[in-house]
This record gives sequence, structure tokens and C-alpha cells, in this order.
Amino acid sequence: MDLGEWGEVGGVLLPFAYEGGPKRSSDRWRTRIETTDLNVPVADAVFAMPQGSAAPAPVPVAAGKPLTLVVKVAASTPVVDAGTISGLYARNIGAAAMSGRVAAVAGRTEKDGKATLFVGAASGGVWKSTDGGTTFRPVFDDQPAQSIGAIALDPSNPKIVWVGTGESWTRNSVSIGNGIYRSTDGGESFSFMGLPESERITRIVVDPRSGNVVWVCVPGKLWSDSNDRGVYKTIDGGKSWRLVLRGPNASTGCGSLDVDPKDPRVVYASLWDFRRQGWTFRSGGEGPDASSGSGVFKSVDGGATWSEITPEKNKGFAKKPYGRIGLAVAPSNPRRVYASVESTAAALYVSDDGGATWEARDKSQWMVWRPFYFQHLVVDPTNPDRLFKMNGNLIMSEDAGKSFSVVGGFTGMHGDLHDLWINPANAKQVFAGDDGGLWLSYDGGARWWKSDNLPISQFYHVAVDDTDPYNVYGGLQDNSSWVGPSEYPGGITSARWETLYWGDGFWTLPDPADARFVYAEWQGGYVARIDRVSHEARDIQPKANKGEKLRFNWNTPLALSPHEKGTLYVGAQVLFRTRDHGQSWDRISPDLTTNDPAKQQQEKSGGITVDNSAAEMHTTIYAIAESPKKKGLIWVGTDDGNVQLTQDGGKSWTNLTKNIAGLPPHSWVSRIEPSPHDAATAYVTFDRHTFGDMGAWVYVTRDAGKTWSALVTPANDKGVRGFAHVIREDGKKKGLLFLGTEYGLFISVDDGARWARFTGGRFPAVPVRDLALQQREDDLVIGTHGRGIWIIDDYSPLRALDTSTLTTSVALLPGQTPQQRISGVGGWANGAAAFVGENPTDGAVITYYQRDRHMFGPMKIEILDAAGKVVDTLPASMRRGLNRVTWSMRLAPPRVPPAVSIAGWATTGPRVLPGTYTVRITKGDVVTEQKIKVALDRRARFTEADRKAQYDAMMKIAALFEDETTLVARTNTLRTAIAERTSEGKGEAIKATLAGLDAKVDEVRKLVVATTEGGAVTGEERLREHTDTLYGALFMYEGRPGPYHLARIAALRAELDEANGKLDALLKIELPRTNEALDKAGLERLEAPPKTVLLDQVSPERAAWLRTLKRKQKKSVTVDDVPVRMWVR
Amino acid sequence: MRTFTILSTLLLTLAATPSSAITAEELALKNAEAKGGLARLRALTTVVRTGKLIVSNGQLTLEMRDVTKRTAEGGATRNDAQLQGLSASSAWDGKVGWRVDPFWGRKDAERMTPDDAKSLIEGADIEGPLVDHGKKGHTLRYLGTEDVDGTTTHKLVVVRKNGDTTTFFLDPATFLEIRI
Repeated sequence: MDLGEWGEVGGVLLPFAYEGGPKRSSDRWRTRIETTDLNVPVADAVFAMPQGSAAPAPVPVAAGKPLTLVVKVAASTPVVDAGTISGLYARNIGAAAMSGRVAAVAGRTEKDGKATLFVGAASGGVWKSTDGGTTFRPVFDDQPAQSIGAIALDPSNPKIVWVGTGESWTRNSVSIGNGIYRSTDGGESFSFMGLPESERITRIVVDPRSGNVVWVCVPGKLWSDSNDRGVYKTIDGGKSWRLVLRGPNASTGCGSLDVDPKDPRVVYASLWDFRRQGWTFRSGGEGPDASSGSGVFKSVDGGATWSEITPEKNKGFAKKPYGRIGLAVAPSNPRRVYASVESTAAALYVSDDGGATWEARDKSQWMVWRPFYFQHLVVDPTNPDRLFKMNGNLIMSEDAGKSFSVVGGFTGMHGDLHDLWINPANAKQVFAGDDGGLWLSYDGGARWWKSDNLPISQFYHVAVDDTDPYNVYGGLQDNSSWVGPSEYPGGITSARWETLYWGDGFWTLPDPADARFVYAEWQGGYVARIDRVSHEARDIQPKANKGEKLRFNWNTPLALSPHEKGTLYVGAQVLFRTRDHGQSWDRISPDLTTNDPAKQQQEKSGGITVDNSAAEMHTTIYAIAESPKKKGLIWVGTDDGNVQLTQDGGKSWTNLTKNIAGLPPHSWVSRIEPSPHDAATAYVTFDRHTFGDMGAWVYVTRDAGKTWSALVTPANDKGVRGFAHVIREDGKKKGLLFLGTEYGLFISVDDGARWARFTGGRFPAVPVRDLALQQREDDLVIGTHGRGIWIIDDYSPLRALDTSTLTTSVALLPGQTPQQRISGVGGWANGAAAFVGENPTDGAVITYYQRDRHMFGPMKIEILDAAGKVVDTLPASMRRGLNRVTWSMRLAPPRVPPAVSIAGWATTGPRVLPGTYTVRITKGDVVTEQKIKVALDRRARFTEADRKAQYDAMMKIAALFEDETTLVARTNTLRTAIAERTSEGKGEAIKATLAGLDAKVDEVRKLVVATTEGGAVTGEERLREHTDTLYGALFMYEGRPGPYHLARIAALRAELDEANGKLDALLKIELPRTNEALDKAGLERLEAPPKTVLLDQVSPERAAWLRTLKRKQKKSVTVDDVPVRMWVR
Repeated sequence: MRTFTILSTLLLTLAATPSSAITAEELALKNAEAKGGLARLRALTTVVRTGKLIVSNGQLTLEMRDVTKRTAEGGATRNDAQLQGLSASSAWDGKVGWRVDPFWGRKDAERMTPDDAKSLIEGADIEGPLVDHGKKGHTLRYLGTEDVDGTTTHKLVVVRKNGDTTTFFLDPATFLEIRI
């Protein structure tokens, strides 16, 4: 719950605005306090539960003091930081449909039988479920790294959870971590506990006897030498760490680790020698026979000493050299140890004597395939003979590894398994994580449910089209290419996303020449043009000439020409261009790379096990961009560090790399952004993480590459963290820059002089691989590698963040013209287990800047119509920096007569007419205004004149409701007085007379409102319900009503007139007769209720009448069941 | 309108960076001081408020009224929200939580489960859990600082007797909570 302005009453400071619920959801609520009274007498009966259908005792209505306060505060020095810009908010549209790679799964069974689960996403944080996997929420988003390698739960204390950051399934696109974290509140919040240089952690084991003793298996840095790797141990709960087992060289760390749960002094650990470079990878040594630092070790004294397990000493074990080795101890029989060994005799090795001797068992395809990515075993905690091996397919053995069967993976799941948790309380429940997310089995692993609740998708690139609403396209790691809507009625469910192609997806571009087609690709440059109607995919990859090898990067760049619809560029080592959608290709460059043969040995990549999947392809073009200001001016960047430029459409090229002073050689060009404002200006990001340099390198040239300036370097990072993937410049405001790095989104409003990290909507420090600018909407679409797609709706207020604005106390900022978007029908009962992506807010978004957080005194936002009348008042947002509030653009709902149930449609008022309105902010003694123009939905098929006709009809219906309310109020007023006379009267005769009149008056009321209580579906419809139905019919469609709608209004008006006539007749004939009886009984006469009962203001007659009532009563008078005082202002 | 004198004695340099040497107890005391002082807070017997409750993305506004009373059982509270003349209530009387939800046609009161009544029970503590937390059986933990909408706040956790927790995020300049 967020608290707003604070005010004072009776010497006590209290907040007078609250907000709660998920931001921007329909569950968000706001409370605005208008009056407060302290220490007034309140009877205990007010809180007592009423019996039967009796109403709760009324709350006393006191004087009602408004909260007031003004405090002069010192102005702060304006800054541009996360707090300044993050009020713009960002929404996550998913997707969970394809989800993303899960690197770690851990769980625990609670005392009530429910399973608590933790899922570590490869680059999307930690997700927690307390309901056995039905719902998940992110619990690690506040931390500076989101790549997760390992999760461990303390078996002796359910409050303690350990997370090791940095995934250890070291594919080419793997992210990085920054150490180990611990939670002491069951995984709700985490604290950093050390190992900052570890980069990745593969396993954590907590000693079951003492939670202060923890083992951590650190493979260490992937791309460079490091001595911060091996087996670490703490005995003081993480306050300090000792490296207890290290490898023989600076490229060997820990590959796997397990501990005997019955004697935790016994520890098994594998060491893993590995290295990746931009063009090669090895697991083990440089080749199958080359020397490797990998090995297997055992300690029986808690890590004080270690002995190596070798084939010489331990009969039956695999011969060296080794690559990656996975180890697992059977929890129910710790003498049983399993080892999956990468070697030239790769197999599963099993020991039944604590590692003294071994037997080679299974060596099937899915045991030995791609060990660097899959070397992980999980043994059933209740059955030592049952174990799972992670691999492309998930295989399971029930005979201690002698044989395995495929139980999941490419069939029945996504495939590419990485971790798995078996519920020890019910071994049939298995939770597995693969490259497609989380899977749940309730039958021991035979069949799997897919979790639809983890939007941890890993986009490489993102693009948008120009439809309304626009679509978002993107390619994902191991999850193909998809398209989904940026908004959809009811929210963006998984069903709204559509898969386009196969394999790993990268650039996915809608064809601007024909909206029916999309360009997509799978890894290694297999480009296709896809027909979205027939779903036909046509290969259009440029082909090699005789004897030639075309070198397409794993993430082959595709780029559309901003000048020629239908022109597409593709980069291998040369640049290709097609002007006919791939029917033919022109080569428009020579080899633009370094063409270094030493970096073209991919067929030897892999180390012990050959692994050449196009991921290591190098000396390729990686970035292509044609200047939007000058046709034929094309920038190209390569993965081996060349920046090349043509200004004549490819006829000639200039290598500009040597002009970039201060940039180390061979720096991978990750993106080039030609400025949309100036042909000679371009921004370039360089990514050196494959050299072990995790900093950001960003340069700009303003003279077509002759000279360059560094905007961000590791030596002068200006607060930017992580290696850089993408930079974009706003099309309207020069120097408004958006930068995506491995650790998030950074924005500069001053051409790179200062950078602020964007955290709106709790946007985490997740890799931002791509950014798309939807120019019509001014939306920034963020393609993350680990948390799907996020959208900042209408970022245009950033354009106004200049020095002058930053120093003001409060300033309204211009934004997009608000549209009255059509309220479409959509959404369904998805259940709690389905992720639903967020829509943009419905209403006119008002953005303003505050130099400081507003704490004291009222702050209000009013909307005035063209005549200067206030049509709405909005609760203000308090935060420092940019703030956003939404005006619903609706009038107050009509007042309806009270009945036994809600008149559903009439709870919401109709929209105001399009036109010019004024937004006015009053903050203490500062008043600022801005005009906004409200427009129809640009998709609307009706005109403003049609809208006016609908509006006029709605006003007539509102008047109907008003008059129905008046009629019912009159009958209630009279019946209240009748009840009072009845209670005062003595004798049956007068009571009978009064009862007779009461019944007749109530008959009139029952013509207007339904009266059958009890909550059943009565189908009882009276005038009010019919009016509500008609109101709803016109509410749904804002165009011109039909003549039959207008005729219905007239018919209901006629019915109301009849009901009024009946009441008037009673007042003319029955009331005088009753008053004669009252005179005889010595009781006060009944007065005819006034014809106009205005419940939000008091006419003089009403005020006098109410005062009369109050004077004569000993307790509060009620009208319409509400204390009189509420209606008297 | 008048200037609130207690606050004028506080350092009001906004965008202040929280001091790292503060304790949970100190924060609780500063919070009470900022609100008028322990004596005034302990002297509260009832608080009655009226206002508006806005839901459904600002499209629905209800009239709200709530009342809280200090009692020997730890407080009683009741919230009412009215729409189209129908009044929904939820209350805790010190022993029982109940609600009336008339919008589906029934006006009789229903008992709430202990889980559902939790927020009411906590809201019935008229001066808040930071005041006299020890006597109430709560413990406090200071968890350092955390950004809340651009303000680096002090994060103070109240752990109740039953193990439930409430986290207060206190503005570093005024020590008033800006998020709970």
C-alpha cells in the first residue's frame, strides 16, 4: 500500500491518500480521505456483527475536519537518475507461451502438504511458488544480476534460501552473475553474501546438520582466466568463504558437487576445465586427447583434504582426459554415487562403495550428448536406483543406470533439460526445467503439464509493425520466432502469441511492403519469408558460390531499408541485398571482416566432444543499418571488430575501425544506430564480454566515421552496468538515447552525457538485447533476454526533460493525444495458472514532473472542460521525477434509486465528448495547467457527430435515472414519516389507516425498483432495471444510437410519468384522508414530499424540511437509508 | 492552513540519503515523533474518517467511511463503502470479523475467516504497530534501505507475535511511511 499526502488534525499527522493493489491493474484501488475526526464517542455496537438481515449500527457522523497542512521544504538539486525517469512505468506483455530456459529448480514440501518451489531462470531471475506451481512471482528482481545458476534450500530451516547467480549451462549466449545470495525470510528478499568474481555458480549444498555450513561449486569465468573458481565452503553462514578445492590452472573450476546427506563430511566434487571464445569452445582440453584440468575428487573430512578418483586408484572409472562431469549421491543410500563423465569413453559410471570402485553403465545418446550443456543427474530421494539424466531428451533409469528410457524432452516437453526436483513426500511429483520453461509431472515423469505462468522468454531481437494496435515480433533463444499483440481486450494471454518459424529465432521483421509477410530466421542465417495467412515459409537464404563457404553468424543480422519497401539486407562475411523479397540477391560488398583463419576452425570446436552448432561461427557481419537520412549510406559492423561504411549503396566501402581511438582491437560490434536526425552521425555499441570485459563501450561519430567520441567506457561508465547490446535514438528529440545492456535499460536525455537506469514497473536488471521504437505511438518496446517483452507506453515526455524542467517544482509534460479507445470484448476465465500480459492503461494519461517527492499538504489534479467547469478530480501521484496519472475521461455515473442489487451498467459514467480540456495541478501554492485534446479512437468508424448523438442519448437516460431516484426518494421519505407516525400512534385504527397508505405508496416504489431480496436470480425487472439495460446498450457502442434506442428512452419516460402520476394521485386523495385520521389521533400531519429532491445539494425547501425532521427526532434522521447529514453540505 | 511546528524542527532536506547507522528502535521513535509524538498517539481513542474509494482504473467511485476504536482487545474497526445506496461493510469487533456484501442481493452479515480478517485486525491497532511494539508482542527489524518510487527509504519490518510481518518503508527526511 502506498501512502500519499500527509495532513494534520488534532495535532496528529495522518495520511489522507492511500493506494494498493497491483499497479495499473483493475485491482488497483485508491482511497482519498476527505474528513477526519479524532476521539469522538463511538459505541461498541458499531462494530458488533448484526443479526439476521438487520443493518449494521450506524457510524456516528461528527464534524468532519479536513486534513490540512502546508510545510515549506528546501528544494533539492535536480538529478537525472532512476528515480527521475522510472515513473513512466513499463508493462510486461509476456510471453509465457514459449517461456524460456530454466537453469535451476528447487523445492520443499511444507507441513500442510503444499510444495514450495523456486525456479531459477537462465537470465530472468528467481520465481517462487507457494502453491505447488500454480502461480509464481518473481522474488529476486531487486538484485543487480538476474542470471541464476543454482538454488538451495536449507533442510534444517525453511526460512533460509541460497541463490547462486550466473548460469553454468555455458552456451554462447549465456549471461553472467555476480555472486551468492541468501534469504532469511523464506525467499522473499535476499542479501548478497560474497563470491563477487565467481561469474557463475552451478551447485549449492547446505549441510543438513548445520545451516551455517554451505558448499558452493563455482565453475568460474567462462571467457577469461580466473583464480576465483573451485569449491568454496563457509562455516559461518556466508560471512566468510574458503576455497577448499581449486583446479590446476586458471581455467579449471568446479563442475559438479554433492554431499553425503547422512555424513556431510563426505563430499564429492568434479573440477571442470573449460573456456569459450567468440569463435570456439572447449570442454576439457583443446581436443579429445589434449591435457585437461578436469577431474573428480572426494573428501571425507569436510573438505580439509581431497583425494582424486582416478581409473588407476579406483577400478572401473573413466580414463582421462575429462571434460565436464556430473555427480550425484543417492540420498537414500549414500554409498551409491553416480558420475556422468565426458571423455572419449563417455558414459554413466556408478559406484556402490562410495567411489572406491566403479562400473561403466549407460552410454546411450541422451546420456552423452552435448555434455557442456546437460551434465546433470538427479537421483530420487526415496529410491537409489531411480535417477534422471538431463539432456536434450529427459531420460530416466529405474535400475541404477543400467538402462534408461526417454520420459520427456523433445517429445512431450520442449526439450533441453537442465534441472529437476522430485518431491520427497510424493516421488510421483516431478518438476523439470528445460529450454521451454517449467514442466510438471504427477505420474513420476511419464506425462507433463506445461507451466503457463513464467514469462522468462529470451528474446534476441524485437520489431513492431504499424497496425493498430501494433504487433510485436521477435526471435528467441531455442524458441523460434513469434508475433503477439501489444494489447488485447482482457489482457495478452499466451493464446494471442503466434509462432512463425522454427529453431532458435533472431531477427523477425514484418515486411513493410506487404503486411501479410514476415522475415524470420533460425540460427546460422537460415532466413525465410513467411506468409502469415497460409503459414508457408519460403527459404530465401543467399547461397554460396562454388567452393565458397558463407559465414553466417549464429545471430545473422537482417535489416530493412528505411527508403525502399521490399529491400532487405542480410550479412554473412559479405553484405547481401534483395529488392524483390528474396527472389534474388545482390552481393554489395567484399568480405568486410578480418577473415582471420585462426577464428574459422569451428569444426574443431568442442574440446573433448565436438560441438559445432553455428554458435561459434566467427568473422561475420553482425550489425547492419542504413541511414534513414541518406539512402545508400549503410553501416556494417562485424563480430571481429570492423566498422565499415558505404555511402554509395555498396559500390565502395571504408573501414573506419582504426579511427576509433581508445577502443581495444577486435571489439565485437553489437549494434550501429545511424541517427535519424543527421546522416553523418551514428552511435555504435561494442561488446567485449567474449574477452572477459563486462563493461559497456558506446561511441558516437558526427562526421561519418572520421572521428569518434566515447560516450561510455568501463573507465568512465557514468553508471551504466553491463556489456552493451543495442542503442537507439529517438526520432523526434535529438540526443534522447536508449541503451540496452546485459544489466538493463539505460536512458540519456542529453546525448550520452548522463545515463539513468530505468526501473519503472519494477523492470529488473535483465539483459536488454534489443529495442524497437513504435513511432506512431512513441512507445519503446524492450526485448529482454530473460523476461520477455516490456513496453513503455508513450515515452515522449522524456523529450521535455531539459534543464529548465528539471529545476521546477512541478511541471506538466506534453504527451500523446488521448484517444477514447474502443472498449473491446475479450478475456476469459484463465485461472490462476495462466500468465496474462498487461494492457496499456485505459484513459487519458497525464504526465508531470516533480523535483521532489510530495509529502505534505493537499495536491490535486483537476480536469476542466472548455467552459472552465471542473469535470473530474484525480488523486495525484507523489513520487519524485516523472509521474503518471490516468483520467478516465468519464463523467460521474448517473444516480440510480437504491434497490436490492446493483444496476451494473450504471456504476460507470459515460465518456466526455471529444474536445479540448485543461489539466490543472494545484500543489500547495503552485498552480500549473496544460491543455489536452481528447480524440476519438482512430479506429472508430463513427464520427464526432455520431458520438454527440450517443452522448445526448446517454444524458437523457441519466435524467431518467435521476427522476426515478427522485420518485423513489419521495416514496421513501413519505414512508419514513408514516413509520414514525405508526410508532407514535395508539390504537389499531390509526395504525391500520397508516398501513393502508404505506402499502399504496410502496406499490409506486415497486413500479420503479426490484425489491425481492435474498440474492436469488429472481429475474425481477422494473423500470430501473430496464433503464440500466438500455444504458448498457448505449454504453457499449459510442456511435450513433438507432431510432429504436431513442424510442425506448421515450417509452421508459412514459412509464415513469405514469408512476409519478400514481404517486400524485395518492397525495391528492389518500394523504388528506390520512391526515384527517392523524388529526383525530392527535398526531402530527404528514407532508407531501417535495417534488424535487436534490441529493447532492439542498434546495431551501428541502433544507427547511430536513431541519424540521431533525429537530423532532431524537436520533439521526435517515433518508434513503443514509444519515441526513451526509446529504447536507 | 497552518504550519505544523513539529515537522519544522526536523531536517527537511529532501532526496536525503538515509544514514546507515540508525536502528529499528530509533526509526520507530522518529516515526512516532513525526506523527505528533507518542503521547498524542497513545491518547487516541477513536478515528472516524470519510472519503472516497476509487477502483476499476478510476471508473468506479464509492463513498467510504471507516472508524477505529481503541479497546482492551487490541482495537475494533469497521469500513463501509457505499454505491447506489447499498452499503458494504467489513469489521472486526475484537473477537469476530464479519462483512456485509449487498451487491448480489443479500444484506445479512457473514463471518470472515481468520485469514480474511487479518488486515482488519491489523488495522484495528489505532496508533499502528510501531508504537509500544514491545508491549504488543511485536519485534522490529531494520533491513537497510530500499528504493521506493525514486526515494531511498528505510525498510523496517514488524514481526508480530503470530509470525505475520508488515514492512514499513520510511521516508529518510521525515521518517513517515510512504509504503506499507
